[in-house]
This record gives sequence, C-alpha cells and structure tokens, in this order.
Amino acid sequence: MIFGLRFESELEIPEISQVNFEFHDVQIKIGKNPDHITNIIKKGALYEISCNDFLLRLNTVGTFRVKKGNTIIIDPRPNATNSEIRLFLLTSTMGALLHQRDILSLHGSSVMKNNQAITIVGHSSSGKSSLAAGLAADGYSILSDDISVLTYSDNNNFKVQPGLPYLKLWKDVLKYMHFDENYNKVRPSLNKYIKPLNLEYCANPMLLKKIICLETKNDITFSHELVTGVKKFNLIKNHTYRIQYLYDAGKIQNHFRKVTSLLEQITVFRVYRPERPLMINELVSYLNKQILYG
Amino acid sequence: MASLESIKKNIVWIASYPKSGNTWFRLFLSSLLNPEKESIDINNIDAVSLLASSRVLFDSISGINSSDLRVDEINAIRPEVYRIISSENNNTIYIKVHDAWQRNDSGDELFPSNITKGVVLLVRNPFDLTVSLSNHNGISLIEAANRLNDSNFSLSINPSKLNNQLQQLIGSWSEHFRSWVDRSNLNVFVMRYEDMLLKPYQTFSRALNFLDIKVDRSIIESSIRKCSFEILQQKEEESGFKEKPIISKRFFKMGKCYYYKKLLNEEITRILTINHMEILKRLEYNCNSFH
Repeated sequence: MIFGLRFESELEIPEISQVNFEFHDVQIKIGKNPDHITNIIKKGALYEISCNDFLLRLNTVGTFRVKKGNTIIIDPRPNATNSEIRLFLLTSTMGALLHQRDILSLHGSSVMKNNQAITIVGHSSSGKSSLAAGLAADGYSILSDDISVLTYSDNNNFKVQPGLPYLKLWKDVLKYMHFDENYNKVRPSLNKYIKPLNLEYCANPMLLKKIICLETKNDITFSHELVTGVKKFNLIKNHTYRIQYLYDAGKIQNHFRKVTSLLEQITVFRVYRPERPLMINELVSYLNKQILYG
Repeated sequence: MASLESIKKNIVWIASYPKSGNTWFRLFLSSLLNPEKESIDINNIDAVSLLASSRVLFDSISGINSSDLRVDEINAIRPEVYRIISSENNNTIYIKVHDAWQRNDSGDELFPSNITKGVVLLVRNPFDLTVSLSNHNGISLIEAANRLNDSNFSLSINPSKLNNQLQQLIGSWSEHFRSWVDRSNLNVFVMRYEDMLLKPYQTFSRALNFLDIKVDRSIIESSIRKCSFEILQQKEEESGFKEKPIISKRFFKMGKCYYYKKLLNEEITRILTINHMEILKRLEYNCNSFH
C-alpha cells in the first residue's frame, strides 16, 4: 500500500509493502500496449491522454498505460531492467493514475514531526529530497519523496499519505550527508541513488500544516517570505504533480476546488537557498529557527 | 510528433558561445518589444527568457523527470519538446541557446529546421571572451582559454549532482561557429559583440531587419539607450541579476572590447590565434591586432 491505495501487481515491486487485501484499488499488469491511444485530448513529447486513458512512451524502457484510474499496463522493452521499469511506473505513471482518480498530489517531499506534516515543493534540482534527508538527520520522519499525496481526512482536513520508503539522492548529497555510497542506483548509468528509509520512515497519514517552496538564488544567504492570497493558490497549483496530465475542464475545476480548500488549512513559505555550495545542515538550522519552530 | 498542419517556422534561436552578448541582445529585444515600459526590468524579460537547456522547461513539456534520464535519452526527446513549444504558440518564440548545433544519436536535428524561423548567432572575439569567461566562472585565464580550444567543452556536465540545466555540448569556439553557420542549414544572422558595442544602431537594426521586426528608429535608439552597459550595471547594483553565477561579483562587468591586451599573456594569445585563425578571418577580425 502506498499513497493510500492498495495495489495488486504482476511486477514485483519490493518498495511497496506486501499485505494481503480482500480488494485492491489498482491492478498493475504486464502486457501489450498500442503505439497510440484513441480520441486523444492532449499530448506531450512522451505522453498521450484521452478521457480515462493515458499512455507514456519511453523508447528505451517501455510503454506505460493507465486506464480508468484502476489499471496500469506495462509493456517493457526487452533490455529494460526491473528497477528502470519501476522508476517510471512509480513516478510519471503514478502521476497519471492519481489524476485519473482525482487525487490531489504535489511535486514534493513530505516530512513529519509531532504528528504534523510539512511538504517541501519545488522544481527539479531545487533540493527537495536533500532537504528531506537533512530534516530526517535532525529528527524528522519522512512520509514521502518526490510525490506527496494529499487526501481529505475525517474532519475535512488534508493529510499526507505515506509514499515510497526511500529517498532518491545524488552522489554529492550522499557524500555531504556521510551516507553509504554503495546504495543501489536508480539506473545503472546515473549517479542518483536509492537510500532506503527504515526507522526514519513514517507509515501513517499525517495532517498537513505547512508547505515550503524551495528555490535557489545566486546569493550566499538564506531568506524566506510568507506566501498569501493569489500567489499562494498559484504556488500550489504550479507544484501539482504532473499538472500537465490534467486533461479536461471538469477535472481541472475539481482540482482547483481542492487546492482552494487546502489553502485554508496551511501556511505557505517560499524559501530561497544559495544555488551552491550544498548547505543542507545550514538550511535545516535556518528553517528550524525561522519557520518550523517560529 | 506535432501534426503536419500545426508545424510552423516560428522559433528564433538566439545562439551564442557563453559570455558573447546573448543576455544583452535579449534585454534589447525585450525592451524593443515592450516600448511602453520606461525602463527595463533585467530580472523579468519573460518574452525572450526561454532557455533551450532549462530542466524545468524540459520536464514540464515532456511530462517526465529529466533527472531520471540519460543524456542520450534527453537529447532524443529535446527536438520534440521544441516542436511542441512551436505548435502551442502562434507568435515568434525567442529561445536562448548555448549548445553547438548538432544531431542526436538518432540523427535528428536537436534544433529542428522545420520549426526554425532563423538563428541570431552572437559571436565575440575569443581573446576578450577568455577574460570574460574567467571572471564569470571564477577560473584562471588558461583554464578559460582551454575551454575555447576544447572540442568536448560542455556545460552542466558534473555527473554527481543535479544541475538546473540540461547538459549542453558547446565545443570549441571555432566549432561552435561552424556548427551553426556551416552545418545547420538554418537561416543564420551572425552578429559580432564588438559591432553591438561600437556601432549599436547599425548592428541592432540589421538584426531586426533579419527578424522582420519593423519599428521606428526612435524605438530602436531608445531600446539601445535603455540597455546601455552603464544602465544594466546600475540595475544589477540596485536589484541583483538572477543569471549571475554565485561566484561572480557582477554579470554586467566591462561592456568594452579588445580589453584583453592588458590581461592575456602572449602564449595564450598565440595559441588562441593559431587555433581559431580561420574563423577569426571569416568574421573579419583583424588578426594582426591580436598580437
């Protein structure tokens, strides 16, 4: 179970805990996918979308089809490794699945302390996973890396659902954090590693209280600002995971409604860090002082 | 693939070796396209701020994390990303690019000719460029000169960290020029940095003529004034400049040409002259003056 969903899979996915359920929400199959889907509403460089149908095509790894929010069909290339298939299954393909199921998800990592979650959003290379690793070293637990799934809880608040129990970190971050450099790579040719989470993993949904949007700046100091009003809405909207996969007016409207509800519950900060060098520990200290315990 | 009906030649590549006036030209263009603005906001030139190597741009259009892809896979997808940008826009799109013109492993043009309206290639003499690169990147003059002589010179190449830009093969100074002018088969307008400084009205006007932008002389002159180095330096002093590397003190540093003579030693000058003689001549730089 991940992101609050129960999966039944023909592909072995060691990252997802094995539990016996009577029912599953999503079935993952290995099978043949068409070159194209029909009645395309939207297409990108690698994907095609129609109503309740999605196809992601990666020439070197395989194709991934998501149907009706409950079925994923993987058509792997002969040379693709299992870890490569899982990489694209558990990122972009999962993003399409979440949109088909109208589940709000943000492009970011989430951490937890005192039963309250903080989600760190930002563009690729902004340092989300690195900061999550730094916060974990400072006593926080990690709920999710890269994709943070938010669902309504009983009292109408949003909770962050636990994601995959690992962080994906580049080699420079492993070195900085003094982590083992023998972790498995996400792909053999990339210096991006999978650091498993053990005790620092939080397997329970947690109430979301704060969102930090991490950005880089060509300045040697840290700074931050409280984000309010329209900017707050736009920030959440723009950091929706795979927002480009939202495909029709009804879904977009529904998505915006959820974002609006979420705004009432959370405080949002934009935090600027120096582009380089890596200053993860300093950033954690800054956040603890200025935002997290402020 | 974008459908045949939607293919239009509406992309202008603003191409250059790094530190050759690309930002300056785009600021001028931004000012020209927004004449109602009294002064230029150097940190907000949205109309001409697309960057071909932007990781965020690639990720948003491809719908996938480029950080999970190998360089060859990224380069296989890049042409389609630019085709989508072209098909989704009706107007001319200006895109900054430092890459040399090249084909990917499948033989496809990285910068597809069937969506390209033209290329403005900004060039700067390799001697001043060496000094400027050295200042900009915080490296020695000899290291900077070596980059200009290196066929494999690339940007954002560190495999151990995630850069906010995609890897870009730049090549040597001469190869970069040849790639766009001799190999691309694209409509290329070459613009010398030195001419932008010494004959601004004439030079910028020619570029606008190439781009088929028709505006009054007064607007061109006003945009040149708004983007003078003194004003850009003052703006950077006041509000900083987001494209400045953290290790560099200032982005808009000199705004002069042929100032290298006091700074480059004879050996660096000699090697640069030998390596790039052919292109120096083609660009009508006075090679005798470089010694």
